[in-house]
Amino acid sequence: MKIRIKIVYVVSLTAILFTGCDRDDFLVDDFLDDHFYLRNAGADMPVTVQGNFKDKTLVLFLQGGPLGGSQILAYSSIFNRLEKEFAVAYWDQRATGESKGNFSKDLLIRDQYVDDLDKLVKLIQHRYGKDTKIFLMGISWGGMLGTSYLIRHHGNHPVKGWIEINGGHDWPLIRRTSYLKLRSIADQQISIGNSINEWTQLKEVADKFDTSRIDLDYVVEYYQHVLKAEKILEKDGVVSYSVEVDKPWKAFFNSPTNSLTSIFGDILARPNSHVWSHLMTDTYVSDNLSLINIPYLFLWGDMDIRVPDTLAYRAYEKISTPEADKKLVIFPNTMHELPGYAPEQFYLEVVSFINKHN
Amino acid sequence: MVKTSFIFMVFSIFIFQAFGQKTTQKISFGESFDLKIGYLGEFITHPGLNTEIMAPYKLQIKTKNDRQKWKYLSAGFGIYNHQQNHVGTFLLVSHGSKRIYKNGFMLGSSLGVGYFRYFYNSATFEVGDNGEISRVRLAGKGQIMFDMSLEVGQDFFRKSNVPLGWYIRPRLFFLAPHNTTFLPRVALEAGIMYKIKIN
Repeated sequence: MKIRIKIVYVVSLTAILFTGCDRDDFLVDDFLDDHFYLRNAGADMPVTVQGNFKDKTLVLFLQGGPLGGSQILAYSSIFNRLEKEFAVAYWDQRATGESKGNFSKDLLIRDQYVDDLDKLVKLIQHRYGKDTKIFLMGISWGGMLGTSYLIRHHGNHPVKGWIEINGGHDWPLIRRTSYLKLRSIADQQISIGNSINEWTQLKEVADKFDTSRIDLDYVVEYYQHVLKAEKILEKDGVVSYSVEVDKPWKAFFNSPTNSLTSIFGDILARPNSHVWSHLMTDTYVSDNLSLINIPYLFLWGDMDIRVPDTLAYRAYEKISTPEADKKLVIFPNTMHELPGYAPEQFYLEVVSFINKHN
Repeated sequence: MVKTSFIFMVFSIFIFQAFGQKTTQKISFGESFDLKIGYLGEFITHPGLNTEIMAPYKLQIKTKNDRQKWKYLSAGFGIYNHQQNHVGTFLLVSHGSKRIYKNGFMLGSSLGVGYFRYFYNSATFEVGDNGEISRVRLAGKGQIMFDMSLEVGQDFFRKSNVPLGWYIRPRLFFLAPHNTTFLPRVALEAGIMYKIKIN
């Protein structure tokens, strides 16, 4: 009897431990449904891959921050729609979302994130085949990461195209232009009679902004005002965010992510502060944009105060991509988290770009 | 905010443990044992199992309302599965106290320390500098674990001499190292207690 109990115990434990271990059936009816970890330099980073893989096209999404992870986006209506066209890889970057491990704060720097991305691209090719057509899509910090990767590995990477959404690839330029955007939007809103008192105060903040200050605390304080401006624009109905979460119950309680540990992890590790503190005066990307010559799609919000569209216009001129293969789209009445403010236009632009270049 | 909440919880547990006294009865360690088996839901819905054996070493009885306050040491093992994320396992030793009222209603708290080991339940790969790919078997990490828990339940032995009870137990784990710092996890446990040896 005792032996039987022991056997049941060991079998149960083993079953729990290994349930869901590596599956080779991640491709069913041309649809990818896969999950794996990349281990690199002390970090174990989860990757969820889902979507139509009939044409072997895969969009590797680079989240903003770096904060929060990107796996949770696999439950958003926007990305679920994209998955009907292409496979989408959602990667929780180092020290964000559900990534785990043990490493020094010294590795929370752009170069390490670029190295992680390089390893992930190689792993994707290994897992799904060298003929996989990889497109990078990055938002905000993801814009800095993707652009840095394409420069660092120019001429030696398999990426077919780059979609940059409000990408923060040039912090000195952001510092020199964000307050101008804030002032311009404040003027515009005051002129049409929206929240005049609030916008007058925000205009004063813009007027007083000191572009020579590069300390992170000063910039963070300024960005609190930017977030306030975004809330006013939403409150006054100037912009409207419309993303739905598909299967919210599953997303919250039974997905590969855990919202609580993701939030705690972000608060405790503060990867964004560490990364950005090294980039305040960095011009590596803006100095080397001419090394990029692959198809490039810029998607920007005209009301993005965090990363103004000046960055897109400048980069559009600097890259070496032929005119026919680059496109800059400025979406009206949209802010930093662009896909949520213009889901339909975002979807159409992305699908059209990928279909043209894959 | 997180720091304040943490200090408040630790403080509350210590205060909670400090209340109650009057008649004190020392119990020889090993004189009686309770066994706990319960569903352990990390983040409530990531299912698992927790087993724990508890050895009381001190009993205080408040004569006014015949309330018992037990202090005990315990050792336990837990396991849970977060689908497409990891399997968490842990060994834990704890010190706890519980008050059992005349009607069997039970309130308790405990603090524990142990070893936590998680295993990824998806394939894990390493990519070398030259692009060579290798699979990491049984990938995961070991961590030091601190556990704080509160408990409510019913001890049927107190009222009707049935050696059974039930309990619900919110738990807070602190695991280190995690990335560059540590990580808190919440869990909810619910199960039954069985007195396997009664003094």
